[in-house]
Amino acid sequence: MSSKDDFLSLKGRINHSVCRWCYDQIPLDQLCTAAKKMGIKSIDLVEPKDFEVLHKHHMDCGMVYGLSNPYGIEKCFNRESHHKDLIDIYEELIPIVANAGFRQVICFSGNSGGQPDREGVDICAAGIRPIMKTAEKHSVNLVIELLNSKVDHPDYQCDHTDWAVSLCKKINHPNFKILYDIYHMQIMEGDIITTIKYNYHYISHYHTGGVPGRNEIDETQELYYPAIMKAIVDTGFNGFVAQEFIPKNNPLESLQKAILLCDI
Amino acid sequence: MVAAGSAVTASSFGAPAVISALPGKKYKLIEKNNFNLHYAPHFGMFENLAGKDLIDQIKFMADVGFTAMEDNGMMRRPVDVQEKIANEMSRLNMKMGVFVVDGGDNWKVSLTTGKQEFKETFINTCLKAVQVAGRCNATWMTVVPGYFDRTKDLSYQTSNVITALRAGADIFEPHNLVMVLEPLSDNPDLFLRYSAQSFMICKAVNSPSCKILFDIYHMQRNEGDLIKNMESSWNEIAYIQIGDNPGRKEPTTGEINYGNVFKYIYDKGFRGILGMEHGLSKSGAEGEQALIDAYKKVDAFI
Repeated sequence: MSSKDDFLSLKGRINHSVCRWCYDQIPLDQLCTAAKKMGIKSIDLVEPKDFEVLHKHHMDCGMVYGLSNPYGIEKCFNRESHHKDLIDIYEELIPIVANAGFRQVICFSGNSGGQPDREGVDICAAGIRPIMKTAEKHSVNLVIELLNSKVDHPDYQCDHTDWAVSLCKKINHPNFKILYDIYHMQIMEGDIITTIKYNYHYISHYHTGGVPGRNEIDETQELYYPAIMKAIVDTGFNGFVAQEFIPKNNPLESLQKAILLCDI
Repeated sequence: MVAAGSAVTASSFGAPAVISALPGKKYKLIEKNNFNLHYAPHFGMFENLAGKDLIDQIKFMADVGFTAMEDNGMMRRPVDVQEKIANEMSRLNMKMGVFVVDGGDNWKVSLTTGKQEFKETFINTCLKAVQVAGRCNATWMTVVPGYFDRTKDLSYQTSNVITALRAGADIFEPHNLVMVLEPLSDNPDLFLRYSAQSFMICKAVNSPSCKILFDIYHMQRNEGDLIKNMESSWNEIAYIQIGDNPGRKEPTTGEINYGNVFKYIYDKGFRGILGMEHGLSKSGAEGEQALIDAYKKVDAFI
C-alpha cells in the first residue's frame, strides 16, 4: 500500500531504533510497518519469540532482551548465587541472537541491596567473564544498561557511568559494552555530551527520553537532543540510538517527531 | 514571544565606539526586545557593538531590551564608577544583578577550616559589600565558601561554613540584602557543589539573607536533572545564572533545552534576575548579534 514516497528520507548519520515496550499497545507487526516508514531500522528490547516478526519486515534488533523470571533489572549479575543460571541463559541466548542476525543483548547489574559498589563490579565481572568467550565466538555484544536509581529503579547498582566503565575495564573484553541511556543519566549525572566524549569507547548503544517525565524528547523537556546526537555522531558512532520515551501524545506521531529531531 | 518595540540605530546610542567598531557602516536596526524574564548580561559581552565604555554598554543592553545587568567585579571598581553605573542603570530602569563577595578566599581552602582568620576576612568583606550594594542598588551578592579542607570530616567543614554564613547573614539582614550561595563545578576542590547541599546549608543558616544562586551551567555539569533539582530546592533559590553545556556559551550551543527550562522558571513565577554568566560562541560583532538572537529564540516560550 505504500509507495516509496511515503518513506521518510533521513540523513543517515544516526541509525534509528525504537524500544518495543513504549508502544506495547500497537501489535509488533504494525509497529514494524510504521517504524520502517519513518526510517527506523531496528526495534529494541524484542525477545527471541518475536524475531520472526522482525525478520518478516527486515528489521534489525539493536538490543535483544532475553531474561526471564526471576532475572531482570533488579536481579542480575551482582550476586554470585545468580551466576550459574545467568551463564546458562546467556550461553543459550547468544547463539540464537547471532543466528537471527542480531548483534547485541542486554544485561543488568541488579539492585545493590546494601552491596558496596566495588564489590558489585567484582562480582558482576566474575559472572560475566565466562560468557565472553561465546559472545566473541558469535560476534555478539553483551551490553549493560545504565539506569537511574532515583525515579524508576530505586537501588539499581549500575546507575553511574563510572561504575559501568569500571566494569568494562575489569572485564576488558571488546564484546562487553555499555548502553548509555541519556534519560537515566540526565537524572543521575547531567553533563551528557562530556560524559559521552570521555567514555564513547565503552558505549555501543544509546537510549533517549525526555527529562523530567520520560515523555517526548521535544521542546517540552530540558535536554536539547540534536546537540547530543551531533556529539554522538562526532565520536564516530555507528550503532543504534533507540527512542525510549513514553509518548503522551499520539504515539506514532511523537515517534516520528523524535526521529526527525534526532536526524541531524 | 518577542514583541517589537522601538527600533534604534547606532547613532541613537550617542556612542562613537559603535561606529568605530563597525567602520564605515551604521549599525543595523536593533529590535528592542520585550523579554519575558530579566536576563542580565555583563560588561564585555557587547564590546564590539557598544564599544568599551561601560556606560555605553549599559545603554546598549537597555536598547536591546535587557532589563538587568550583573557585574562580578563590582567591589573592585572605584567608588565613582560604581555610582556612575548605578545612576545609569536607575535612569534606564534596569535591575542590578549580583557582584561577587570576594575577600580573596573564594578559590582556596578557607571557610571550611573554621579558622578565625578566614571568618574575619569574610565578615569584613561582607561589611564592605553592604557599602557597595548600597551604592549600586544591588540586592544579591554571590558567596563562594572556598575549597574542601581535606583534613576534616565533611560534617565539620559544613558546620564551619554554616557558622561563617550565619555571621554574614547577620550583617546583610538589617539591610535587606541577600547573599546567594553558588555551587560551582570548576574544579573538584570546591566545597559547595550541589543544589541539595546548598539547600541544606540555607536551611541551617535560616535567614532570608542566605539563599541559593542556581547556576544552570554548573548544575548541569555537577548533577543534571535540572528542573527536578530546581523544584526540590525552589524555596531557597533567589538568583539564577545561565550557560549552556559543554562550553559555557549562550543558550542554543549545547545540550540544555533552555526554552523549556526558562518556561519552567517563568511558570514558577520567578521574576528575579537570570545572570548571563557565560561566554559567546562566536567572536566579534557577529557573535554578539548571535547571542542576542539566541536569547530571542529561547525566550519565545510563551
